[in-house]
Amino acid sequence: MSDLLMLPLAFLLAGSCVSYAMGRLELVYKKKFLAGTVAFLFFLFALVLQVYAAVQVWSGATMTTTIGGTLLRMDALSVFISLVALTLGMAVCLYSIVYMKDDMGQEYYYLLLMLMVAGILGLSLATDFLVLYLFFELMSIPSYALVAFRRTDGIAVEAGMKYLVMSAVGSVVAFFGISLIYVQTGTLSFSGLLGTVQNTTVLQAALLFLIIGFGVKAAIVPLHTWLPDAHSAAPSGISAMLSGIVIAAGFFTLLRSLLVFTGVGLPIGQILIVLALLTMTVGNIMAFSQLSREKIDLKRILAYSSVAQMGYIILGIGVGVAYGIRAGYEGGLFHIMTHAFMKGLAFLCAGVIIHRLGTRYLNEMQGIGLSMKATGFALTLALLSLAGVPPLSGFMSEWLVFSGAITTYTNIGWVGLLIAVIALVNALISLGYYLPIIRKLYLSPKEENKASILAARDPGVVMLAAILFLAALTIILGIWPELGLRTVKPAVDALMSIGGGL
Amino acid sequence: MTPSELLVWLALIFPFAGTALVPIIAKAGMKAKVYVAVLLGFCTAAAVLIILDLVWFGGPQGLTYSFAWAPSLASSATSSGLSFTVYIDPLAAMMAAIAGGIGALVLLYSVKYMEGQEGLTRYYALVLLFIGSMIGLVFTDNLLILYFFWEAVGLCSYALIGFYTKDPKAARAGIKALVTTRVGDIALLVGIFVLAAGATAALGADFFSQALSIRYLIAHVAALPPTTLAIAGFCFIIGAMGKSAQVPLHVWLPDAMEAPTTISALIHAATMVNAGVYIMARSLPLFASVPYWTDTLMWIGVITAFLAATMALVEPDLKRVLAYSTVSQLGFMMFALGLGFSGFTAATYHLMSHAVFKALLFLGAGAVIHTIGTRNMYEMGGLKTSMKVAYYTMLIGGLSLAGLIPLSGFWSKDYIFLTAWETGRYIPLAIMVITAILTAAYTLRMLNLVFWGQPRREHHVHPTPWQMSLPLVLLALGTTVSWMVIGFLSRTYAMFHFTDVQAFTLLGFIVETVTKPAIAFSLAALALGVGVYYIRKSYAASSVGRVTISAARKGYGFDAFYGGLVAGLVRFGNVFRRTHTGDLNYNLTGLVIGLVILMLVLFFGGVLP
Repeated sequence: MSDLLMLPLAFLLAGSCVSYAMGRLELVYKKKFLAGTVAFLFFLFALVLQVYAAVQVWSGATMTTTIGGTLLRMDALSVFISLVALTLGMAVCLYSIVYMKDDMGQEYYYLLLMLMVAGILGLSLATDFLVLYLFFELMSIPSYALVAFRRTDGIAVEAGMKYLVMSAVGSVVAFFGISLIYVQTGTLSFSGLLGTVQNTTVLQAALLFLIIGFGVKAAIVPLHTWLPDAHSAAPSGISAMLSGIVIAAGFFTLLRSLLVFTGVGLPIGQILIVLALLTMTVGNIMAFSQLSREKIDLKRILAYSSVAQMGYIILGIGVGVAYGIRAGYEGGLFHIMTHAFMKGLAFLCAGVIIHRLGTRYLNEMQGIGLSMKATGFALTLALLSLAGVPPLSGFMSEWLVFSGAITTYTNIGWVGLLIAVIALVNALISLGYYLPIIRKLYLSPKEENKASILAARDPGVVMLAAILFLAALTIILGIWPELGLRTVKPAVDALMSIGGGL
Repeated sequence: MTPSELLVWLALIFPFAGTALVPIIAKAGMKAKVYVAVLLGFCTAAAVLIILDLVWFGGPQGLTYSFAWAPSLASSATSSGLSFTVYIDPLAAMMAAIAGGIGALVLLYSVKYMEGQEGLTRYYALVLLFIGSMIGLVFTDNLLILYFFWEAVGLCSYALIGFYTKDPKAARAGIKALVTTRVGDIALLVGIFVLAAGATAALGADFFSQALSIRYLIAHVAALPPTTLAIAGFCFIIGAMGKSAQVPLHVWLPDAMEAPTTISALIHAATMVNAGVYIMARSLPLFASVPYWTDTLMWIGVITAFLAATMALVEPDLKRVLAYSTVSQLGFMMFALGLGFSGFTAATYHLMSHAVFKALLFLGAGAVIHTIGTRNMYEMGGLKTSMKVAYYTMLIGGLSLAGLIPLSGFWSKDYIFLTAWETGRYIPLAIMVITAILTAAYTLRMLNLVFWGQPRREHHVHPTPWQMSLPLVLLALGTTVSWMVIGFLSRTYAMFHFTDVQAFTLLGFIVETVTKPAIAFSLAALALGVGVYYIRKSYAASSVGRVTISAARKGYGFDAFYGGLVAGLVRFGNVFRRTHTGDLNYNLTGLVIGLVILMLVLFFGGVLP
């Protein structure tokens, strides 16, 4: 029973080995798709197990296990982030089977992909800073390699390098913060720290280090500078993972660490709110100004949009932490989920189009929605959802965030309204880059590449299945948000009790 | 489940099921898809008309149902989370009947009008989605669900304005509509949540099930803090200005005429643009006591009605004339609501008659444009004999707009004047009467340019098929008789205890209208309108005329202003982009310097407590 919580993680780790072995066999026997299919099956099993474990957790069972003196614990929050990560990971894996089929070194690809997701699962189980940090690194290190996976592509390698250096600095800074906590208190366990930490200058410094350190991974402005390069240069499946869940997992790590400081009297929530406003504003303006470049890079707009969307997530959680506003937590968490699926969807669609046309530039994609009907439609859905248009999932989570932000009006009066208005004006600006993309998709193709545009076809059934799966989730979570909110509610209940129920 | 509850859910399920079904049935062929869509449209219309009947002749409690939509949003064990609550009173029933009824006629009209176009699956799916969303918007009692549908109709409007995706102008107009109305939507969202948060804090209400319920809020309005009400009230006004195209957020509506004419008739004249008026009427009991709230609403209405009428007077594009006319008439409704509770009946009455005759005018214009292939009125003319159905129906619609007895436009506009006269708002009333004069003049100009006189070029006129003439005739009939429902309307309003509403019988209303001084304004406006029309040439030649006409043709610079705003944002973005060099050295240096500064501040400044 208690070991159940380790099973999805163990399955992924085992799967990574098996998939690697299959990848080697592939090379020997010249059979394509083997590694990917195996990896997909392991993802599927892990997801099923995770759902099973989730049902136990929601019904009130405490799941803990001890490995060599280290306590791992599955609570509603871990269940939430794991489910999102596994669902998106599964879709991306399915997509990659065909998308990556002509790439060198597939055996590494699935190995790294599964390790990355395993890192997310693991960090959600951690009950002390050391394990948290270790799994955080297990998530991060494969992601560096995955960004630069196409190692003959100079841009990708440069972006991967930038990502590696920035993230490594972030990790060091976070680790330094953890060390300071240990120096000050003599323990690293969350439950040991919670309620006993004092508000000293050293701990304030530790807090800052944690925010800056983990903030690099969460792409909090001004620590986001690596993101537009890394997320646009990576293979599209990996962009989907990075934008969809890895930055959110980075923020999740930060949140877990910050919750230890609950009740100490530090304005953590307020710091988060300010950072959130900064993040969404910079992200949106940068995404918007991409449109006035000579060559509009579709994936770069999506990457900047991820920065902006992280702002919404952090804002929701921030007002929750600062003022105990339930809708804020609900919105922030639900937005992690909806954003994972819709941004994943957007990147997968963009990937297909880029793959077909051999260009990343929107100018050369004009009219592609007319020939690639399903892909164009799915991308339109994803963009509309990101823009917060009903009946799509993005609308559902965004209004929850906004309702949390506006509710601060009863706590801090006009400042609260100002926060809400800044966030909402951001949502308005974001229309200014999402809608022109849609418009471009359906204008008549330009003369110079009319033939290639009109000859482009939708992808085959496997890739299409991954895309339609995420598109269906985007619609269903919009029409029937209850499906996602059931997962969110126990997590919010945990967050509402002090320290995230630790 | 009682039959009436089933009926209510069916009225919502029919159109949404249609949206889902149309793309599937499209595989079976063009005909099947179109007729399924039309059939579902008529099923919806039947359902909402029966509901209207149930509400008019039922008791004073309306229809109330609820469906647990997102119970997981419950904040405590006793809370029920977010429920899809339905509350149908006469106002909601009337709005739904308009959306469903005109929607069905437009669907029928589309069969021939849109025949042979590309993307018809999208068209029918979106029209049905729109009808369903509009019905959902008026049926629900929960402000959040209202907002959900409010945005959903915005989506349909955006997608249908940009229906001809290959036309860059249409795509741009769609984006403009969504962005402009989103400005209002933002304010509305702020208003809704400020109201709900205020109610939660002040009354201890449950956020989702009580604090967002319009009826609950109205029942407890006295206990709500005045600042909360004031902020929310003015936010609601801005929201209504966006959807109902009131100055200065009206700029999207004329551009929305890039949509197929059927869409203009359904969305941009008869239904969606009424949503703003609807929400103002709905929330009138909440905000009527807020200082300056009704006055603001009234003056917005006055300014909008007047400015839009002047722009309609000089516009060469047939559809844009009608668009400006819509803006102007929505101004009339806002003005009536701004008179307070006493204007409630007049505003909603005018809403109804306007919906019918404006849909008629648009569909008629659609027939004309369809036939001769241009929207420029200066290329039309002399169509009176060749397009008989379109001419006579549009004549009825136009005269109703101008306010001729006994067409519906006369009765409702006169009732607005009467209410204004009795509440003693003389100055705004004077401006509105001038607007009515202009209304008569631009209607006359439109009829003249399109139908009268000599043809200005060769037209190959083909006959109007029955799928197009039947809706026209039905709407013309509606324009002639729909005003007679005032008896039901005012009596049910009174029965539902809408404050200050006077219950009339039909005869009583006629007597009231013809014996009160306001009728003089209506008749004078019509007569003077004809006069204004005849002096137009000499006015245009004068220097004042030239300046004002050129200003009105440019839309008084609102577009230029917004264009400047966006250009400013673009310029700022481009300057700001230079801070993102993508150079790793700068980034790392910045990170380290920032870290050092923060540490110094921390150790020496004691910023954190």
